[in-house]
Amino acid sequence: MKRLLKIVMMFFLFGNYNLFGISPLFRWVQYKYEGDIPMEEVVKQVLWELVRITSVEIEEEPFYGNFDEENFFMSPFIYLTGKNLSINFGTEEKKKILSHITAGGLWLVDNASENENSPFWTSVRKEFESIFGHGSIKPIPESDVIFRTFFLFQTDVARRFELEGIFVDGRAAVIFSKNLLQNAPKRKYYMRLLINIIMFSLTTDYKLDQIHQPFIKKRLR
Amino acid sequence: MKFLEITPLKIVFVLILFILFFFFSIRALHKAEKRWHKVLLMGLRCAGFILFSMAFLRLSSVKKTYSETRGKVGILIDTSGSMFIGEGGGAINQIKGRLPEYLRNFSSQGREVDLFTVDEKVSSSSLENILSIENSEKETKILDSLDEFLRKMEIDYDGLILFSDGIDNSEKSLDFLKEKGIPINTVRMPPPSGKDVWIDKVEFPTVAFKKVPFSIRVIIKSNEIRGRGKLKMFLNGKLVFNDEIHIKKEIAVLKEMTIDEEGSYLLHIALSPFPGELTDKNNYFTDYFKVIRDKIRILQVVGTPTWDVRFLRRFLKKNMSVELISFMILRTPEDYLYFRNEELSLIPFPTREIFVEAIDTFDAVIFQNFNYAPYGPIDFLINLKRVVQTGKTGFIMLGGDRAFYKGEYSNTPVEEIAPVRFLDVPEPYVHGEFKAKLTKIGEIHPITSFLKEFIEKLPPLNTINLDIQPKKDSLVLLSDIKGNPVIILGESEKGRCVVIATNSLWKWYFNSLLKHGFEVYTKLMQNILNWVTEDPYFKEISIEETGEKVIVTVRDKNFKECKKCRTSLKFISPDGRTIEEKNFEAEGNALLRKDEIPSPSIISIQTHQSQLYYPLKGKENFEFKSFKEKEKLLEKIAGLSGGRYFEFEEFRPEKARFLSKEKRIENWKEIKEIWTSSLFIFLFFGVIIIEWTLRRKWGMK
Repeated sequence: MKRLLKIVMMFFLFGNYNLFGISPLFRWVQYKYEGDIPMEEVVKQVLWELVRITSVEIEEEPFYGNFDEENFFMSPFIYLTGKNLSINFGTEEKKKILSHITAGGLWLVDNASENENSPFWTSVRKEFESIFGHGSIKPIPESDVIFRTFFLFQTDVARRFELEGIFVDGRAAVIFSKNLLQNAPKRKYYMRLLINIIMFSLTTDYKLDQIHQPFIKKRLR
Repeated sequence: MKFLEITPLKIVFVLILFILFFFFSIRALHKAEKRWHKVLLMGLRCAGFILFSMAFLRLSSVKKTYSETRGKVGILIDTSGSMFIGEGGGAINQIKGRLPEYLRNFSSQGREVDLFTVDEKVSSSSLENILSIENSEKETKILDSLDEFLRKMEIDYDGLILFSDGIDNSEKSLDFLKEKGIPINTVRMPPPSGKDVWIDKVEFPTVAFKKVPFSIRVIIKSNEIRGRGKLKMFLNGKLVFNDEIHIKKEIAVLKEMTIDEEGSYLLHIALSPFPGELTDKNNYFTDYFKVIRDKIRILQVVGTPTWDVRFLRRFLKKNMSVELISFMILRTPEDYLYFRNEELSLIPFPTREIFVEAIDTFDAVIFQNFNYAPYGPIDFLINLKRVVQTGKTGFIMLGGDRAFYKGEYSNTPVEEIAPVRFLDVPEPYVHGEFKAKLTKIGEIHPITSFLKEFIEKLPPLNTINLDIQPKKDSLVLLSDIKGNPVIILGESEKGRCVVIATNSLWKWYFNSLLKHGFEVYTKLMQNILNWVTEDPYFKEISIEETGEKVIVTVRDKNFKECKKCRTSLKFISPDGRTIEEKNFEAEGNALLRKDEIPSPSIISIQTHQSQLYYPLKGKENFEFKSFKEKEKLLEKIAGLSGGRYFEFEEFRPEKARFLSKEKRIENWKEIKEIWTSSLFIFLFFGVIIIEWTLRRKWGMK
């Protein structure tokens, strides 16, 4: 009922909304290219869950776009996935990615293949390493704020995700995950991690503030 | 006798001339009949040549006269404050009693005496002047003064005599005394002694931090005085401590305090005088300290995470001058609640801790699209209003779908302090692109004037709150093209508030970061923070000291230099008495001459809304802080300079040590050139005439 109310309210509120990426609300922006795997229904399910359990308000419709799209880079959150096709960024595109990330943007790069050597996975890692330097992709520790932004992940659970990232200014600015979106509707912790990552894009290191530490420490086993 | 023009060239010339003269004379005289004729004529000729040479080389007689003198003596008398304290009017009166006798004594020795006074410098004086000095507040700077005196001294004294109690406030080393080589005889006067109580030391930070507690520790010492006394402390003329204390040999009084306003403060401490004490001049202490802010402590309360929240937090976290306490509502009571606490990282909203216990500690509170109603009673907002209106805390309210009227702030203390009224309108929060524009006030106001050159290039904003209406006295700096206000400023009693009626300002930040451009957002938000926290740059009254002048600048609420602003100016004494008061209409800057302002004092300036206290620093005077002699100072001065040290009662002028300069002095000389004398002329021409006559007589040419 609450969700319905929110959606109705959002329809009335945002009915006259201008295109995309310019609202202060969270919007799922996915990088569109020939190897992209649009999972609109899954994304909507994630956003539904996000609205249901958090105070975050969203733009209903996910947006699929690429570098040429006007305002594409005005979204601080960009999702990128793929499977069997490799991906290559041009020099200008790499510059834009670097600029977006250093300005505070977040990229979630998700391997939709079970294969760890899938063309997408190997190529996308190579591309990002060419932007941020060889060896810049590092494991994200279980103590990272990503595992605390909303749901609290116990260490053993966090470790299972084998998240990796590229760190800029001490924050994970590019997050590399495996089958995160695909599994979200089916598996509880995948959904929770996705919600945490969205929350991380909105609140960054808020949960590292001193005020939260005693509570979090107490709740971690 | 002395040749006045004897040079090697002239000697050579005379020698050559003599050889020629001798050669031709021998040749000319060989015709003489008798040998003795020849010898006599040659002798006469030689005599004539010698006389010529004497005239040529200007043989003169020189007569010198000499006189015998004795060197002068300088007497330096300490006339600083401590010399006037104690029995019988202090040590100065003992010197006054003996001084004429000393002068007579020196006179009988044939010595001239120059008199000087010594306090903060050495000044030339006379017996009459010294005898007429009745009191002094001046400090003793014996070493500083002596050094300057010896360096600038024009008269070559045989020695100096210094009368002093040895209480000195200079920090100089004694090495300079060896350089000049003039014996300084020192005469120690007994320092003031007797029953006394005094403020010995006050320990306090020279720089304190705003809203951070600090302490002032007063150490009071007494000599033979016991009993109850009153201690008062004033800050910029306001009484902050008034308590009874029990005087004993040494006590320490501690006062803890916290100051909420940045600025300069004059600390004045007064201990009540005791009957019969040596002096009450050491019962007072006055000094200055500054209160600065360490960091701006900001509370950011967020109703829901958005990009606007994310980038405001980024700006605040990256700001080195900000200590940020964020609190974000990540889950509302309407959200799905069925998780165990252990599954979530959420903590309860610490309403009480924030709005009751810690509210006084924040320099600024930001409500960012935050609806207070579900989280606490209205009493919490009353606390917010209190700290804002007392000027302790600035308040910034940012828009969104749960701010202003939608945030249920209508008819609450927040509406009282905000520069806008919250309206119930059909479309309280609207989405849609719009360009922001500066209002006329916005173009000149220091918060937004810089935007003038950027505003056209900035991306459009996307949300605007229409559920607000600026209050009468508020200032709208930024609006949409239809004139709906976007940035509104206002004052509530002593506090400052800003309303930003959009939650899409983040676009200006992110967009400029993407383009590596000028970060308009950063400067705008920094200006807003500085304004609400009353950074001195944004104060309506400012004071600047330059050389001999004090410049007071009064601005109106638009921060333009004031024209005909009613201004009240007061000079307040350190203990809070109004010394002088005048009202005038300020025209921009007002100039005050420092020498016309009593010092130390506090300048108080008040315009319609603002008040500023500015302590005008006087010169620190340590003279009465302690009557302790500097350890063996007078002995050391005498020892190092080659003089003698005396206790006052032992001193006799004839015992003092001086240089022996009783030497012959060449006063004048008389020069008489011989060739100009009649005897010389007579001799010269006599010799020539005799020689010529004899030659003729003896038949020679």
